[in-house]
Amino acid sequence: MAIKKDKTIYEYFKVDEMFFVGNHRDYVDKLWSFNKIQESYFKRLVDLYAVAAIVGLKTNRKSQEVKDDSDIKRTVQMKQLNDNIQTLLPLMRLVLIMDDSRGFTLEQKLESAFMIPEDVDTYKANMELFNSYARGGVEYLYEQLVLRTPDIDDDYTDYRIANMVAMINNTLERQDNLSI
Amino acid sequence: MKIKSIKLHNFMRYKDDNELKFSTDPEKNVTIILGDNTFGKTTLAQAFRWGLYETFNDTSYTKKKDIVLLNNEVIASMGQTSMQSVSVEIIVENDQEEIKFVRKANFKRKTGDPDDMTIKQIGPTILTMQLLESGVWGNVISNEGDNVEARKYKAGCVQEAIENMFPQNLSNYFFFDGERWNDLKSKTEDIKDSVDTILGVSGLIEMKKHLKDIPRSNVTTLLRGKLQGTSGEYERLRREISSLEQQIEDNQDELDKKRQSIDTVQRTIDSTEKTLNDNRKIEEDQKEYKRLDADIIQYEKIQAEYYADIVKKLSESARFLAASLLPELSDMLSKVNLEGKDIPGVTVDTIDYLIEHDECLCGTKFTENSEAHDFIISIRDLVPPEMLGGAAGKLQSMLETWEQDSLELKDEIIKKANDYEVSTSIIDEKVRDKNELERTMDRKTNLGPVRLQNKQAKEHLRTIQLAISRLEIQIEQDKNNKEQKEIQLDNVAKYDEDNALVYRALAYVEAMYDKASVIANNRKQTTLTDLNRIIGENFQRMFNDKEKYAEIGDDYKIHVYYHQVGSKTNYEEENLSNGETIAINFVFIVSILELAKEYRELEKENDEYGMENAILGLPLVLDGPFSALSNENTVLIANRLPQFAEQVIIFMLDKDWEASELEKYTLPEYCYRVAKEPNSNSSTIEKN
Repeated sequence: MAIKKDKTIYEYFKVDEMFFVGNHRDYVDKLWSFNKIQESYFKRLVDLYAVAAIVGLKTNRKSQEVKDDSDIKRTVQMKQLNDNIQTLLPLMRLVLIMDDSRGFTLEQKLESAFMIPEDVDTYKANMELFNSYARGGVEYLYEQLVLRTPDIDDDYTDYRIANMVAMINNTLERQDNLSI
Repeated sequence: MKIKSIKLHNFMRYKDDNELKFSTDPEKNVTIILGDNTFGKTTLAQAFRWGLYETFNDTSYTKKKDIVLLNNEVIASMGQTSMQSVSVEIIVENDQEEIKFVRKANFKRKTGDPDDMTIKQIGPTILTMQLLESGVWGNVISNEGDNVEARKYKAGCVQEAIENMFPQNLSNYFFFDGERWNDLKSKTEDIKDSVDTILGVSGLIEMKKHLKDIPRSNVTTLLRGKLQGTSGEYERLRREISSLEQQIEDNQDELDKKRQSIDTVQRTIDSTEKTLNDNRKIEEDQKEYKRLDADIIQYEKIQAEYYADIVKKLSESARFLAASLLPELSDMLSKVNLEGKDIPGVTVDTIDYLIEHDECLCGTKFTENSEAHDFIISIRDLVPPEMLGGAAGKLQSMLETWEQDSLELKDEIIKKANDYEVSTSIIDEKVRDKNELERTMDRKTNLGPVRLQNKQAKEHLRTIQLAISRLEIQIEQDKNNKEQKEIQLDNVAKYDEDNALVYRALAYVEAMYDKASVIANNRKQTTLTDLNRIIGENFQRMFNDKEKYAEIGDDYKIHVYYHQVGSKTNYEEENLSNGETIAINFVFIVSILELAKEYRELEKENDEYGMENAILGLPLVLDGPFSALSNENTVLIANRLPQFAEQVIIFMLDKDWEASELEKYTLPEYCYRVAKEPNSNSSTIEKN
C-alpha cells in the first residue's frame, strides 16, 4: 500500500499475494510442480497465473474461489508478482478494459483500467475480477492440458506435447459470453 | 629305431595273449591294423603308451582315471583270492641291437561280491628288459635295480633306455592320435626341444651344458677348482669368481622361473583369448545392449530438454496471448482520442470549476461562444480522466511490441514439439531393439572379468619379458666379468707347474665346447630355414593351394598365410577347420621326419657334421590319423609317411585304408584286423 500525500493508493500486484485454494489449488497442482519442470506445464506459478488470467479473459471464463476444508493453498509470492509486474499490470488493464460483466461504458472501463484505485473496495473488486479470470483460465488449462485426450489426427504421440501445441493453437480467438 | 612286435596279455579288451609283429622291411615298412570303430584299435595305441611310459591318453570313450587295465572277461572269471596279471611286451630293434621291454602288473578283485567288478593292483608295476645276444635273450634286467651287473644296470635303467630310444616328450609325434592332436597345447619350448631332439641338436646342447653352461657343477668349474695358488691375490680372485658363479646361478634360477611363468601366463592369455573369441557374439550383444541403454538414456535427456524448452516457451505465452487481443483492443480504442496531454495538477474537475465560475485563474472571462470558452472546452478533453486515451494508446503500443516479440513463440513451440516427437520415435526404436536383444542375448555370461584377466595377463607377460631381458643382460655381464677374472687368475696361477695338467684339460674342454657350439649354432640357424623349405614344399604337395602358404614361426608352430588378401600381403589365416589343422600338423610331422632323414644323409657323408647317430630315426604309430581328412589329403599324406619314417604302424578304418593307397608300402603279412565276436566284450587280432 503506497501513501501519496495524504491519500492511500492501492497498487495492483503490490499489496496482496494471490492464493489458489480448493479445486483450483488441485488443478494448479496438476499444471505446475515446484522445481519439477518435467512434471509441469509451466515453469513458475506466476507464469501459470499470468497465462491463466489472459486465457480466462480470452475464453471469457471466470470462476469464483471455492474453499474447502484443507488449509493447503498455492501462493503466488509477492516477490514473483513484483518481478513480473511489467506483464501483470498490462494484463490487468486488458481485463479491466475488455471485461463486460460490470456493465461499464468504454470510458468507465478505461478509467478503471488506468486510474490507480484510491479506495479499498475498488482495488479489491478489480483484483477479484482479475483473479476470477485467472481461476477460470486455470480450469480451462486443466481441461485442455491435463484432461484432454489427443485427437487421432494429432501429430504428437505424447499427450502432454499434443495438448500444449493444441492449446497454443486454439486459444487465439476470443470467445464471447461464455462466462459464468 | 623300429618296433618289431608288441604282445598284450589280458590288456583291456584283449583277453589272454595277442601279438602283433610289425614290418621292419626298409622298403615296405608299413603295418596296417584295420577295424571298425569301438573294436579296440585305440586300445592298441594305449598299449604302446602303457608299455613304454606307464601312462594313457584320454580317449573319446574313456577318461584316463576310468581305465581298467585288466580284461573284463578275465575279471568276471576270477574268484576272490585268485590273481591275474596284465602285461605288455615290446621288442625294439635299434641298429644291430634287439631289446625286449616288458611291463607287468598283478590284480585281485576288491570284494567277494560277484557283481562288484572292481579290482585292485597287488604290488608295484614291474618293468624289465632283456637284450638279444647271439640270438638268445640275456638276463632279465629289472628297472628296480639289484641286477647281476649292478654297476651297469642301476635303478631306473630300463626306463632310461626307453627314454633314450623313444623320448617321452616326443611321444605325441610318433604316437600320433588324429582325434587328440587338436587338444594338444604344445608349448613353444617343448616343440623346440622336440625338434632339437629329433634333429640331434639336443645331445650337443647337453654336452655344452655339461662342459660349461650348467652353473657351478660343470666340467670347467670342477677343473678350475683343482687349480692351486698361494698368493693373497689368487685367493681374492677365486672368492670373487666363486661369488660371481653364485650370482650367475641365482640369476639363472630366477631366469628359469621367469621363463616357466611365461608359459603359465601365456596359457592364461591363450585361454582367455579363446573364451573371448568363442563368445565374441555374446560380448558384442552385451556391448550393443549397453550402447542401446546409453543411447536411450541420452535421448531421454535430450527429450527432457525439449520438453523443458516447450514449458519455458509456454510459460512466456501470456504476452503472446495478450497480443492476440490487439485487434479487438484497437477496435475499442478507435473511439477514443489516444493523443492526450498531461497538464500537471489539472483535471476535468479543475476545468469544470473554472467554467462554472465563467473565469480563468488569469481573469479571462469565458463568455458563451468566445474563443477562450471554446479553448477551455477543448482542453477539458485532454486532461484526466479524459486523457486516459493516452494511457490506452500506450497499452496498445505495448501490445504491438509484445506481438512483435512473440511472433516466433508459436513456431518455436511447434519446432520443439516436433523435435520431441522425433526423439520419441528414436527412443521407441531403440527400446524395441533393446527388448529384442534382451530376448535373444546371453545376459548372464559376464566376459568383463575375462577381458580384465586377459589384459592383466598381457601386462604381466610384458613385465616378465622385461625382467627376463634384465636378467639375461645381468648374467651376460657377470659371465664376462667372471671370464676377465679367470684370465687374471690364470695369469697368477700359470707359473705354478702343478696347474699345467689342469690347464691342458681346460684347453681340451674349451675346444670341445667351441666345436659343439659351432655345430649346434649352425644346426639351429639352418634348422628353421631348412624346415620351412620342406614345410613349404609339403604344404603345396598336400594342399595344392596356390593362394596360401605355410611357415613355421618363431614360436615353432605352423602358421598358414594368404599371399594376398585385398591390399594386405602375407595375411594369416587363423580360422582353420579341424581337418585343415590335422593336415597341417601332418605337414609338420612329415617335414620334421624328412629333415631328420636329410640330416642323417648329410651326417653319413660328412664326419664333421655332428655327433654320430645323434639324429633319431623314429617309427610312427598313428591312431585313426585320416578320419578327419579328405580322401585327396589322405593319399597325399599317406604316401609321404613311409618315405621319411623308419617304420609306419597305422590303426585305421577300412574306408581310409582304401583311400590311403598304402598297399604298395605294405607286405600282405603285415596287414591285421581287430575282430570282435558280437556277444563278446573282448577283441582279438587276426591276419587280414
